[in-house]
Amino acid sequence: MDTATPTRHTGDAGSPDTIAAYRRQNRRRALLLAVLALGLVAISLHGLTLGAMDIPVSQTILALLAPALPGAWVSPEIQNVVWNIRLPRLITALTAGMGLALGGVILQTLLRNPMASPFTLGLSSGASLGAALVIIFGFSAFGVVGIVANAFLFAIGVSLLILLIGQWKGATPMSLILAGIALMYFFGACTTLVIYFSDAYATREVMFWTVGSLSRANWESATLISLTLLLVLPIFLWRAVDLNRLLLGDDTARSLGLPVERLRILLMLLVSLLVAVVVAFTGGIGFLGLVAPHLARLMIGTDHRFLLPATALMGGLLLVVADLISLHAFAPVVLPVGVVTAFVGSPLFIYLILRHRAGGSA
Amino acid sequence: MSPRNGLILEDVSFGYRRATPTLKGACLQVRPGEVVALLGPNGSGKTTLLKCAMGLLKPHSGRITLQGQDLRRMRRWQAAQRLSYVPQATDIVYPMTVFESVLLGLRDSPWYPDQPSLEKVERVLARLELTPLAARPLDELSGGQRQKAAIARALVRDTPYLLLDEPTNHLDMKHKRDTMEILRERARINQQGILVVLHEINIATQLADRIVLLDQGQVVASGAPAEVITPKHLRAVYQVDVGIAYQDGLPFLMGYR
Repeated sequence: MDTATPTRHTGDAGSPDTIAAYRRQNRRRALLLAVLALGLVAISLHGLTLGAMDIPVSQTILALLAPALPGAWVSPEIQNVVWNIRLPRLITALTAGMGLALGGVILQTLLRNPMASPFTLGLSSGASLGAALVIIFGFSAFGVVGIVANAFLFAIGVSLLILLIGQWKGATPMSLILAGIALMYFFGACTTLVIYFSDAYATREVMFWTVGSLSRANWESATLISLTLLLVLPIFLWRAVDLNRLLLGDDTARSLGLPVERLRILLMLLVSLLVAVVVAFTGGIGFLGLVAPHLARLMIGTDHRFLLPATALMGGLLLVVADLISLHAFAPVVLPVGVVTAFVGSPLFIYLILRHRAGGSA
Repeated sequence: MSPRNGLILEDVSFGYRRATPTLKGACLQVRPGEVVALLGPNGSGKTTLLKCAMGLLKPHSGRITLQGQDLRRMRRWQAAQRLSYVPQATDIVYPMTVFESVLLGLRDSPWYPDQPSLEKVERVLARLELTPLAARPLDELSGGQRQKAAIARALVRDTPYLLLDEPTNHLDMKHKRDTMEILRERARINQQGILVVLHEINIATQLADRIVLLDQGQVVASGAPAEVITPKHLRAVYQVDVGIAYQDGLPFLMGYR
């Protein structure tokens, strides 16, 4: 942290030191964002080179650029592997990580609850059930759109439930999380029940929703999740100052002119959409939406103008790394990525709970 | 005084539960350039009245007008252009720095604050002697320092009216005096109308032009400090007998009898 603030001449209005310190802090944050973005690009490129077929970085870059380059710079096999196998999965991991992390940070701010995330509030599992129902009972006339739409409907339902529980007199941050975990188990049980009564093929299709996996990633998932992010992230960023004001408490935010209830409902709807789209393709990848915001906040502070992009980058980075671990750590065995994120995320969750009990607020 | 220029509460009633009203027909007005202190025992409805005046709670009956306009008809942002509010201490979940928290008070809530806005924040911080703490996160501050940061956030807004809920609660003697001076200065120089909930009677008598004494949701007395702070009123409202001395015409509480 900056220690340059002088303590001597206190009554001296107009000394530029506090402003300079604030500007310095912001420059440092911008720099951290750039570092994070570069790290993400580097890890992603590295990830594209890994797999059954060993492709060097130079060839990978050429393959990525191939559609824009005249002539054949790389072999068609390499281009095929990079463009049709590895890239869609990478982009899906990247954008799904960003989506879950952004959902987490918005929920943590809206509910002023450090333990909140799409996973711990039952939002992911609700969306999973919505998606699974469509697959099993085969309302597949609408294809992917039907799956996403039903996941969205269920996510909205859970969101409204969370808001209602939060409104209830005597609800504490902890009771909200406990209710969320109960919801998670309830929806998990429903999904299991649905699987139990379905045929073998559909079962295989639906199983992955219970742990979360990127095995179904393709260009369709990459495109749809990216488009949703492009829709939602600018709205979040546009509301960054309002989100900062929400951190001061509902009454203070209202006294500053914020329509708190309306903002909360609008943002909950957007989070529901984001989580539903991600879950429809990847299932309930746990803890990512909890971990990424906390890491980003540690790095960059609570100002949402920086925290939102930092959380998105952190979420993308984490899920790309987790996916690489799940693919290559025990190759040829491929783990569902949800297993990897759970191993990292559950200790943090326990830590947050303990800290909450001890300190009242984290 | 023209009715267009004031914060006026008429016959305001409110209850968190219908059966047990917290406010029963309370009346009150704050004029520009005037400091009004709201006194009363615990649970008398001081904070509730202040929240009604801020538009945070909707009265079940009665009328609140702000500069001649009905507060209920105003959008939240319109009320916020005219009123600032300092709540009692709130808990901090995600700590930001003092500078960042005061920045959030700026009226037009800029996404990218310009130099004049930053300088405004800096001036208010300097006036409240918070400059050395500007880069510190709120959760590392003492209760009193946090309280001053909240006051700074309200002052930076420069609204015609300022509502404060026990702003001197966690402050030591010096900072109590300083805060009183700043509020007086705001009333006199900026012509802000200030409504402040207080617990300490001796602070109220020094700070306020008028004192409103509240008991069980009703205004029992209202007027100049010397008219309101009398043994009779205090006995009726607080059920204690206290000695009162006078200094420069202002009443001061002595000891219990």
